[in-house]
Amino acid sequence: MLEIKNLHVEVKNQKILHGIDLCIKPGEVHAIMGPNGSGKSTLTNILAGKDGYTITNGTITYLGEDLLEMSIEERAHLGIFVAFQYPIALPGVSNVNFMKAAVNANRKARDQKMLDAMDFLKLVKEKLNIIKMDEEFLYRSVNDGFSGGEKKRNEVLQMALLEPTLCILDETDSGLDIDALKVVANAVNTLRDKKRSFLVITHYQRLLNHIIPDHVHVLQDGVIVRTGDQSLAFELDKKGYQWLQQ
Amino acid sequence: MANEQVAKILDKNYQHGFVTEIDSDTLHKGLNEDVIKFISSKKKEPEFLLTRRLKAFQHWLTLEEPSWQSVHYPKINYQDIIYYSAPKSVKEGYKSLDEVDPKLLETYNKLGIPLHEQKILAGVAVDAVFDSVSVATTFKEKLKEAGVIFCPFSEAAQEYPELIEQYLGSVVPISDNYFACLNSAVFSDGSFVYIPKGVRCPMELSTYFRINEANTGQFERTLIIADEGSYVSYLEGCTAPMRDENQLHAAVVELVAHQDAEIKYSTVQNWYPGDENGVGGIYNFVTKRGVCKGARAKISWTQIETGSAITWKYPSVILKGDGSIGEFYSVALTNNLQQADTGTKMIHLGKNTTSTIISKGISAGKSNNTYRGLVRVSPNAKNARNYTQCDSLLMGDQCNANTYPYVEVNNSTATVEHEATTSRIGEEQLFYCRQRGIDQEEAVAMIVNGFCKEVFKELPMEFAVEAHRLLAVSLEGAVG
Amino acid sequence: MVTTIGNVSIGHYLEQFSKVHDSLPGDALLSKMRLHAMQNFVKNGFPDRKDEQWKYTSLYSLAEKKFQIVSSQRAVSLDIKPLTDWYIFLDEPNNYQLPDGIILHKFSDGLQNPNIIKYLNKSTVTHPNPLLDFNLALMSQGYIIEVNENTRLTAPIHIICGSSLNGVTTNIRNILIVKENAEVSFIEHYIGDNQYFNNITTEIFLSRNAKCCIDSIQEESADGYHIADLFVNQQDNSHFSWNSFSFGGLMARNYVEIELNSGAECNLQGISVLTTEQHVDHNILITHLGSNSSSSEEFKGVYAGKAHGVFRGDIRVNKEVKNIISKQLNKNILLSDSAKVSTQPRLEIYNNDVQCSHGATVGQLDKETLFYLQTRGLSEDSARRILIIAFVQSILENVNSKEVADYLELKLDKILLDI
Repeated sequence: MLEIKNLHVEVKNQKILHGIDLCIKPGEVHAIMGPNGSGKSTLTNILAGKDGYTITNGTITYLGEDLLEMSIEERAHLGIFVAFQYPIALPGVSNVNFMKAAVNANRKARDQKMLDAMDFLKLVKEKLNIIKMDEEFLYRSVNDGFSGGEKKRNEVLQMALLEPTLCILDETDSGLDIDALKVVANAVNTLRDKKRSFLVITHYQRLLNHIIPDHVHVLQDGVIVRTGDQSLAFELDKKGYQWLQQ
Repeated sequence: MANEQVAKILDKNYQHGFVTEIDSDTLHKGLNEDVIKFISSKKKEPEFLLTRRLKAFQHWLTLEEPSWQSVHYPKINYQDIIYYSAPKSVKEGYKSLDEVDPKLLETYNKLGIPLHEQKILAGVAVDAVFDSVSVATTFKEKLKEAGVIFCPFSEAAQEYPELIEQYLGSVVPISDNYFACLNSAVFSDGSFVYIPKGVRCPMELSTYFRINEANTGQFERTLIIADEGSYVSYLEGCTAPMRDENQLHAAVVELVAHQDAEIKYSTVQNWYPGDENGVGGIYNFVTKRGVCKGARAKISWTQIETGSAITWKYPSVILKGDGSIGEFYSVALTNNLQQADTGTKMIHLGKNTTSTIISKGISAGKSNNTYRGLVRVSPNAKNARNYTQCDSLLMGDQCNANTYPYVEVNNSTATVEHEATTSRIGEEQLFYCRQRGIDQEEAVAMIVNGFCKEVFKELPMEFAVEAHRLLAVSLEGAVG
Repeated sequence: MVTTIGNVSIGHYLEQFSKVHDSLPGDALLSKMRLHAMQNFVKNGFPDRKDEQWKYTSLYSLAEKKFQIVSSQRAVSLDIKPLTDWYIFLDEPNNYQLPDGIILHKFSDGLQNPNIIKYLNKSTVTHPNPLLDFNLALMSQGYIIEVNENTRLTAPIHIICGSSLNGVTTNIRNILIVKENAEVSFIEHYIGDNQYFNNITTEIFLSRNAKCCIDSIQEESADGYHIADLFVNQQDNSHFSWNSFSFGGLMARNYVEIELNSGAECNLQGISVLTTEQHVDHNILITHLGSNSSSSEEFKGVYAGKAHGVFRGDIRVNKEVKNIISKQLNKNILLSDSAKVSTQPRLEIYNNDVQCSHGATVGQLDKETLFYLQTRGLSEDSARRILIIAFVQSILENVNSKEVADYLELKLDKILLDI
């Protein structure tokens, strides 16, 4: 589904990623772990298509097409979804309007029938159960004045609504207490199926107790230094990132 | 967002730019006492009005056009303007809409303002002003039952001369400023509203202004009086055809709120803004002021200013009655080469008076957008309160946003707070929306609408929808 | 556009000028400049309130007074002690002991020195003002200081300007040139007795990476007029901080104009505490000429009696510059019914890569807090004093030296006792 080959990235003439290779197949859950400054967020932003990064070498193929040629919204229409570490607030834009606009933009691009207000409301209320939030949540401004936990739940709610093909979770566990972590992890688990893949980016192993990865990669100084299964995450947790540098 | 709305967003043209082909009685260009006498006699005005007009004209001749504002335009030749134009088919004293020229009805239909009462949005009475005359007023009879007077100004001058004499110029005197003075001399038509004691006006009142004729200036005069304990919500809409020349719109609006009365005045101003090279468009130089005359009176201005080549106006409130309230909610959007210099004045005279100012300026293209406002607390206005928030949003690096507040506090019991920010539209916000699959243009419209939310929520429902749509259309191509 | 009061006192000053002209310092060229400036002043007269810049400050009472022009004045009978080891009395041209790297020019010498003259009158003046001409024509004392490259001062230099001659106007011209990488700090101190008119123009030039802090304490005589214009040109990555403390004068006006080139930063702060019929006006224009420059302003006023506080802050961000951060805040407390505040926090932005905010408030001391303090046994007066100090605390914390902080604390205590 997603194939990254020899990816080199620079930001303002500073090399951030030096040759990443990663292959994700449908239905797989990959975890990328790494210390701060290892290039995890850069990878997320590159996949989403954010400005400000220079790709000096390498390719990314997504569903058989050149991902790097696509605009931000084209990528979204083809099912790439990023649950951001720090979702930005949109003051004055109500959550429900925002999500309806997003759902219909994607449905339109996918030649599906657009939802009217009633249908959408029905759909969104169903999904609210997944993240255990009140309806009141829908009528607040997007991420505006949300607590850290609410922001993360809101990201997962959008994920559930947009039915993406590749979900990228960027440090979704940061700033969550244990109860919220469970809610978020369960929501992700209910979305897992044979066709949908996940790329879970995290600093700590604890999220991976709840979302069991098929593969774990360790990113350090812009390269993947080790790949393994869940046990690699446990080992890292015990020994710390220093261990891999020896 | 619905398909239709997306389609509208993609439609890049000013949508009200058509011209109605209609025979008009149009006066020759130029301004002198005869022109004024002509307008007055055409409207069969009582003597005192003509006297007042001539007095204003004499005073106007002594005035100099102001130059302190942040807007720039070539010198206006006041002899090159037509001061009166009316469709020939408009007869006075029409009994029903059946007597109104179908071409005019069609014009308003095209503008989305159906005048047939059965088709009209329930609960909104409309006075339709076309160039210098009112062509139709709906629901007049129904309003009369409630004691509400809602009619063209020229009709009021004949039917209720004592009210006109008492109130006209009581808020904006002849000598107030250059354009108000000109208006006092040459005003053509407009709306007159009187809400009697204790009456809550049973429906929204609305005036729709249309400039059609070329080279014509529009000088409407609106006077709204809310007697003790009454309430009225009044809406005003404006459009004009696309023309290469600039046309002057110099209106005066006066509001009088007596004790415990409330007037809510909303404007969606969408005069033709000129093209992307700044050719054509309306000069919107308007004086709007209200006085809270009695205790606990309330006047609330809400304006959505998206049109006009130049917008230059400060809807203001004089807070005379103790405990009276003044509010100003404004969205001013400028794109291409548009200029806006707008804001408000809150003059606190009475005790325990309160005012709120929320202003949202959006500048795009090469436009120039200025907030200018005055909050004055006089020595006797004990415990006066004001809260002001002025935010500016910049799109693109060619535009300009200015904020010029004046705060004058002459009383130690006053509390005045002013906050302002200027920033650009958030790249991160756009990225976030686009990551969710929403295209750039819609994302911009969404973020800007969010930025304006505090103002939009003050608008009556139908106008709020219109305002959302207008913003999206006006911002076409502003980012990207 | 300058509009002026008219020819009030103009004849008087022209006559005075012709009397002292020959005794004023400077060479023939400067003498010509003075003459030209005086002609301008005579043509224009004192600025009028119709001029937007003077909207809330009327100079009528000043213009009527007909002050005497003297070519130099010695302040007598003033009791002022320097706050630091390094100090200068403006009216006494001695050989002062100053740290290495600081060159103090004798006023008359400086005005003949080509290295100084090239800076004289070279500041950008956005709002022309006849009092600047008045100053150029009549300048007779002031500090002219050059700071060499890489100079670092460990303590501030205290510059004292005392005025005590009744009915006299003194035109003070200060020029401060801070070369690359130098870091300096000054205490500028105006103090006086009797009725006089100090017209002060200061030009500061900060080279790349230079850092300059000025704490300006204005405690002119209660009958004095203090009109001060400060121009600061900041080259790339320079820092300027200015703390203005206004307590004195019948009328004080501080006009400040700052130009920020790339990466330059300025922080301007002020406290005004006024009583009786005092008037203070801070009028500040900051222009962001270069990218990545930042500015902040915070001015607080406490007004009692019939005092009138005026603030106008302009922030301009030019086209083509990027990444600008600018903050402006003006807060005021009115303590009496006859005190007034007029404030205009303005922004002019010609660019979208900005983050600018401004705010202004006018209010009174919080009644609840006053009550709370009284329930703890404080008298109403001392409770008020505590709250006023708390109100200005954020600025007191930022003064550049301990000497100034201690001095201000005492000064404030003294003023507040009278309120």
